[in-house]
Amino acid sequence: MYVYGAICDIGDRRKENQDSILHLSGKLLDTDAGLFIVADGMGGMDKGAFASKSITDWFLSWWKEDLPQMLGAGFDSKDDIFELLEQEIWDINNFILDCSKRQNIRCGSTLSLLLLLGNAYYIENLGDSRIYLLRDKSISCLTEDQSVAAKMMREGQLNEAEALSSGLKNKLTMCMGMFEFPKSLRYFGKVEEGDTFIICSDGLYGRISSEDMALIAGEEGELQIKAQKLRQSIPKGSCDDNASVILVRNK
Amino acid sequence: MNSEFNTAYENMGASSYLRIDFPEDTCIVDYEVGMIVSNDIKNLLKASKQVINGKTALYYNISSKVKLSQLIGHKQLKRNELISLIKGAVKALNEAEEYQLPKENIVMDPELIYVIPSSVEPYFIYLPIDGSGGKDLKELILELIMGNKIEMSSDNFIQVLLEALNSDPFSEDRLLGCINRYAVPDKNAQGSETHTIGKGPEIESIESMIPRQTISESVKGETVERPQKKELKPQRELPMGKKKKVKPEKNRKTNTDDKAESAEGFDKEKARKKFLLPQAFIMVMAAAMISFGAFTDAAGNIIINNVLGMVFVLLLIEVVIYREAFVNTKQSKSEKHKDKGERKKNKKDKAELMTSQRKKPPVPLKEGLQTKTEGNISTKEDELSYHKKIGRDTKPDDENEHGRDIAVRYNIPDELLANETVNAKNTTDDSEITEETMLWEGAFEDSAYLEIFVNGTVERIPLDKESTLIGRLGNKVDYTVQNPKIGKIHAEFINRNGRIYVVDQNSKNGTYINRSSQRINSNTPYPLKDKDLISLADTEFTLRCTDL
Repeated sequence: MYVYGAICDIGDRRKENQDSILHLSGKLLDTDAGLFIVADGMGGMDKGAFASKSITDWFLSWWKEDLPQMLGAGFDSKDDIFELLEQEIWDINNFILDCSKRQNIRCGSTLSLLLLLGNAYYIENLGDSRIYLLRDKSISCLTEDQSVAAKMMREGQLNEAEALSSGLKNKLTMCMGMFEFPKSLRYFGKVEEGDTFIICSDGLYGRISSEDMALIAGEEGELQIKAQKLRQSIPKGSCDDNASVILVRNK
Repeated sequence: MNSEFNTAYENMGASSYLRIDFPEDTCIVDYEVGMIVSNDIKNLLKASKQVINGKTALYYNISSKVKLSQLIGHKQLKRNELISLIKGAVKALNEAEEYQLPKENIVMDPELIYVIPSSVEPYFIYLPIDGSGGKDLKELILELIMGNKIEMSSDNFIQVLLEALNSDPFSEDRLLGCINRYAVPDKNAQGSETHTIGKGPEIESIESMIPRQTISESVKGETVERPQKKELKPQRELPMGKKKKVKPEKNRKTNTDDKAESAEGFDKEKARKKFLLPQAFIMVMAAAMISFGAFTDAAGNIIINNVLGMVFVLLLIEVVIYREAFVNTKQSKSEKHKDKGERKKNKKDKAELMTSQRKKPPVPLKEGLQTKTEGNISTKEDELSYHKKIGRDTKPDDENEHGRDIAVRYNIPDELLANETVNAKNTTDDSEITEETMLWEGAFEDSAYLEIFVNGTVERIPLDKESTLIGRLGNKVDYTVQNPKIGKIHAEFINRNGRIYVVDQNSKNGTYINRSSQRINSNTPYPLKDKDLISLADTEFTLRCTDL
């Protein structure tokens, strides 16, 4: 069974919240399942919110209609699930692109998606929102950022500290709604008892170390309270971006 | 364009360049420079960058192109040339958007638009600076019209163009839609296996006419990884081809006639030569005979008999030569053709006779089904995918997008449809009278339908409606195929007056015709013919219809 806690906060300095989150948990064909999304919109004003909200709205419909239909028809293999996820990403991307063109605007969003089906996890990630896994008190980031700074870090041109402080960390190389071919990074693994997933936007992880995240998320207690605690761990006034986090635990 | 930028022309090897020097204080957008330097963006001039002493210069490759202002300085633009210009401009604007390049930075000044002289396909300069401003496409076209740079025509093309330009809000795509129907069809266009209507052709025409450039799929920046899917490359579509200017010239009429006649085998010129040459010989002979005194006696008196005899002989020779040159040649040529035809006919009759007398082999099943049978070494998808007919959402037409006029949506002009010629498919193999077992067409005999072969059965999907949607999501489509690789709404089949078209609905895994390795362009109707194979991702359908 999957339990969760979620926060989607405007931050201390922004005038609008361009983040959107989705948290769904229940049973699909008698199997424990959950769908959790953090989408960090970009484009200014309400454009970023439009992009991120489109993602969560579409995936809500996907969870209700598309996924159960295909699972019921027997398409439950790993490849099938990823195909279905990526079909949806494709359609949403086209939708945002199309709307943007019609309105002559530019907007996009990151996507950090965690799908839990039975004892397996499926991740689709675009952009620089992240998904961490806390297992046996050890935290690891399951996803790779798709940003210029992250790319340079992987290529050895920057170290971690330089990448974090670099202005290039906000330059994304991939996201939803701005590219004709959305290239997501997919991850798959087995869920073990006690695993806690932390899905968050850069507004959160950019202000709090992964160790602190592990400490807070690893404590016993309601996950909703932990999510709030994570947000509050950012010193007041210094959360200069929208901050979103979802904690999911396999109980 | 800002006049403070210096421009100059340079040649390097076989290539010509327009160089634009930007002053030091110019706010150059590096990302945009990167885009135009690293990518072949359609209808934008490829650029390369140089920084010398802190000053940036961009070199735009203008090889084999001329300035638009230079072209219209000598002549007016014909309709198709204007359409080519507009199409290229819209293409450039759309492509720029794909690359996150602001449209307003595309220079729409005839002095700085470079075109391929034969087709007037345009290539634009993109200025990667903040706030470059300048004319837009609408202003460019208006300038051309008002400056009398467009050839007037007897129909209402210019009026329609002006209306499209003045519509509020102005839309480039709408403009393109309005002018497409006025394009004069290219008589040299060859039919290919797949055709496009609407947005399709200009893609091929642009690609076929780009000189010396490698047409490769654009890469959106260096940092984007390409997805592992088939390339979205336009197929060979109705090519515009090189427009051959047909100039009927009066002084060439005779030759044309001769050529026309030579098609039948009688060459008038040859005949004339054949007749005239002997005349010259005869005259020489006659002159020689006279000078040697063949017609005068010793006293110098004219011998009437000799003269008469000579005249008689001459007449005879003339008649013979004339007949030989003009009459017999003509007859013999036409008789040859007749004989040829008759011989062919006789051969065919003979062959048919022999065939009918031989024992007839079993009539094969229809090609599509046979293919399916052979392909019944089923893949996992074949085994798993099944289908059921589910009605669409019962929304009123005015709310349902698919209730709109298909022709308007996909810009299928009536005259184009009416003029389409399709090789009349000989389906007489189906109508041969035979005693062999044949498939009963049943209710689908005269209608178009799709066949899908799954788990040993053939199911038919009727295409009698104007629009039939096929996809994965039951409540959104007319026909459901449960295959994760198929999009929720994957493709639309249009039936317009009996002609069937397929339109990919911007699917992820594509739609393919006749097992082509290249997917069809999305949102573009492709005409189909009987027995065409249409694959939605990896699920294959066979179209059965009457070829018109």
